[in-house]
Amino acid sequence: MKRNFPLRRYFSNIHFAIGFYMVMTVVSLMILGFFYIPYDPNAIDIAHKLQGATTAHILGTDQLGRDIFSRVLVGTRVSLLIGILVVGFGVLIGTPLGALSGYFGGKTDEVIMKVIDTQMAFPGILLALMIIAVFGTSLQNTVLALGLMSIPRFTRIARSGFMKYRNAEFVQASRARGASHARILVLHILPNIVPELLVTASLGFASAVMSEAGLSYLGLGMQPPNPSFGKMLSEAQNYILQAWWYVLIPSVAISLLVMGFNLLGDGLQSINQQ
Amino acid sequence: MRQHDILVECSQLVKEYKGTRNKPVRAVHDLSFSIRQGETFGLVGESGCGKSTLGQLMVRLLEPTSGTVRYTNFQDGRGNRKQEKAMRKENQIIFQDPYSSINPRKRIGWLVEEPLIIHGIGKDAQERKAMVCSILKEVGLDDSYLDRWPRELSGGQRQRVAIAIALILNPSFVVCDEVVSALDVSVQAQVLNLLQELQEKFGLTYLFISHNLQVVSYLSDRIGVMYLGGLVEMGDTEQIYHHCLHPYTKALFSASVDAFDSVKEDLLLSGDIPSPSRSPSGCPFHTRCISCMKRCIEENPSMVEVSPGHFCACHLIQGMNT
Amino acid sequence: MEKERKAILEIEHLHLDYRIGGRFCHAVHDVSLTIHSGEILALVGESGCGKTQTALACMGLQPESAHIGKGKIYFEGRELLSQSKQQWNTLRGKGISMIFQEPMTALNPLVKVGKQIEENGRNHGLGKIQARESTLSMMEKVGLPDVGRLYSSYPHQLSGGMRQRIIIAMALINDPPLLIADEPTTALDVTIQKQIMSLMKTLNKELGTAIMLISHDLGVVSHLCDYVHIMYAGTIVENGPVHMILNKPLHPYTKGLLGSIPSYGKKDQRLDSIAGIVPSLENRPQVGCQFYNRCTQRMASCKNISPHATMRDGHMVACHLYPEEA
Repeated sequence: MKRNFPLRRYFSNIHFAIGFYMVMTVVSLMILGFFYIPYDPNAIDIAHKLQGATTAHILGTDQLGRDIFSRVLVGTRVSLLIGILVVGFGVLIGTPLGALSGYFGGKTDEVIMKVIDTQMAFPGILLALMIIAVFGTSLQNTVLALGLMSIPRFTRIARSGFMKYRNAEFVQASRARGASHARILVLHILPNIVPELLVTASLGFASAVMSEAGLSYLGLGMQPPNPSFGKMLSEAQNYILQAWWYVLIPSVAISLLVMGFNLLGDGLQSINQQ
Repeated sequence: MRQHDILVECSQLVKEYKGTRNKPVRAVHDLSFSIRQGETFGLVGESGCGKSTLGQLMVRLLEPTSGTVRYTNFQDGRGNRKQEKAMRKENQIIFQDPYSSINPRKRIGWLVEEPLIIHGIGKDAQERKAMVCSILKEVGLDDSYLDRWPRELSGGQRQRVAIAIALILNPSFVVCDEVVSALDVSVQAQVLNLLQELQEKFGLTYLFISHNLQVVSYLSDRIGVMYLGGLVEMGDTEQIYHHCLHPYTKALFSASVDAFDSVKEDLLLSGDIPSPSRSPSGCPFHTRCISCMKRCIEENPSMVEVSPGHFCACHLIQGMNT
Repeated sequence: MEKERKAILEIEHLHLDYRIGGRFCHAVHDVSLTIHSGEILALVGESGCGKTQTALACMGLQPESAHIGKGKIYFEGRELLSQSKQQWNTLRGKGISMIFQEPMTALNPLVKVGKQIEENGRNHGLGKIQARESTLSMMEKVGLPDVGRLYSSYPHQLSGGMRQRIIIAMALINDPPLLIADEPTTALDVTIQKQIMSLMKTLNKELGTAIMLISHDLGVVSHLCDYVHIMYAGTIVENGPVHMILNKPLHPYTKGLLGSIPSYGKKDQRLDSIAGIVPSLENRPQVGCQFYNRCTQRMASCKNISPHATMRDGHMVACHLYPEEA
């Protein structure tokens, strides 16, 4: 009973609740994909190309006769995997940098923030394009490029959080008790800024999904024949007059993820402020 | 005063902050005094007089710009991690606001146990838990608090937790920085009683910092009165209460209204406390002093022992003696 | 003596509730009090006792979520609670003024302090020149030096004591018959606190403004007020002339409160503290004495029967220890 209470607090926030269900729709599709895929997502069947919804292909087929539903099931994996890796990259590198910067201040802060600011000066997608242009297209390079892009926002949030708490009385008090810097950083301040980091992570997830779709759309993300929402969208646009549903399906999938995570983030933020 | 009686000794302590345009702001200015084993030393002063800075200097949360803080029961820990840790075990500080001095994201049990983990005390979790329970009991809280969050507690209960955290290491010296100022009167009385009980039980020495003269004169054995970073008068509570000499102390007593006493002497100070960044020349108090002389503007008076143990820094007193 | 004076503010059986979890929880429960012209009356109690809520209700400023169930407030004979918004606006500042605890947040940091005082006057019909003149004279009355220069200074350039003086000037510019002061000296240093207290006393004498002082500090109250009401958990437990309450408290809560105040005279003794804490809104009993769970002299009847105020030794007390004389 008592355990349920915090969750109820979250779900009474309409943004959080809607966002949660949107994200969960996509996640459940991904989970379904692990157990059951109707067709091989890359199996070409020209005879049945650009079909509408039928009992055999519930979401129809694409220009090569591949089953769209199967491709969506596999495509969710890519989007979510990239989202998780990119956010993980940002959190694991950005947060410690921001923590050091905010907590110690002075020279440390100056050096770290100069580097971060320099990176922020690059338009994000341009940086990603540059990295991919240099290292070539692959999943790893996409994650690397988007991950680098997501570091600054975590650094900034962590920095302001650690700065706010570095002279808080409870931090002073534990310092007076002999707690080491590491202990104060990890056990005392970090738990206090987790809510803010969660908001950032959620928004970061949304923008990672968006950027990946963008890169794939430009042909720089996932390489064919592997399915990804961005790639599907760019292929579908050529057939928009013959097969409107083909465009609609990846668009809806991307929108669900991006809006879902944005709403989750907004919801978390207003819950934190209560 | 016998030497071995003294627990902490400050001499010529100065703490400066960088102010605007690199002009130093003197928070604590040339302060010397000592605290004896087992006593409660009360420090009174208004906001901005540097009393909290002094408290933090005494437990080495701040490093003095010059001057020293010396502890007699263990070695100076500067630059030596092991000795510094030992010093951290012996000296504790309790802050004013129990809402900000306790980490809101940790359970009470974790918070009280943490000092033991830091200092490697207790063989295992079981033994530490027993110690936590026993100290919670001392401050009037039972085992049911172990798993509770700070937000579920009232101000008085939180302050009890803060006291438990400070005392679990069995320190010898505790700085109490305005510990009861944020509490309601009836809860304040509970905490004051608790502090006294604990002092008797564990033989603690307190530096009790407060702006409230009534609280300080109730609790302390000796009192120091601070004004703009320096001590202006210091002595036994009795001496200060009955025979205070410095015009500022007199004004403070007159201003701190007691519900029972009628006002002793109606002394109304004009003007405001000068900011520490623009400390006046000569005696820092001369801008508000009712008996300011020409000498006060030019020369800062030094502390003079008026009667045994009673010090005062005022030209009026020195004029009388010489 | 006090009967001859005109009653300015009369509160009759005021109830103020908040809805928490579908239940009405009282913040103020059956409070009645009267302030006469030229009098200084104090409402004393710990945080959460409902003293500020009572004051806000007199200004019509209680929070939206508050629900005034029963009770009437009369100001100079006029009932306030049934007023329209417009009528409230003309009353505030002109009839009743209020000053708050924190002198920094009560002033707009971007507007010159003189202008802020003046605006208050102009809101209630003073002309431009007239408003400026009365602003300057009011600033002098509250003891500010060099008013010409201070008129055009900004709040951050002033010290806490001066800001509180500005706020008092602002509150009194329309010469209201009643000033409500909510902890006006709590945020100030003791020597400044003393200045403000003596200023309030002077203004009370010179201008004849009645003051309702809300405070937790019995020391301040004892030196400023004529009459005191002690509040606990939304009810008035005891009231009477201040010297009677201090010297001969009857209610166990008042006794505990006085016993809790540390002073040099009580050195080397334990303070008679009151065990426990003030119950939160949700946990207040619907019937019976509010102080029941903390009282050392509780009886069986205290739990179930709400005590009525009875007259004893010149002051009113609401406690079963002092039954109504038959």
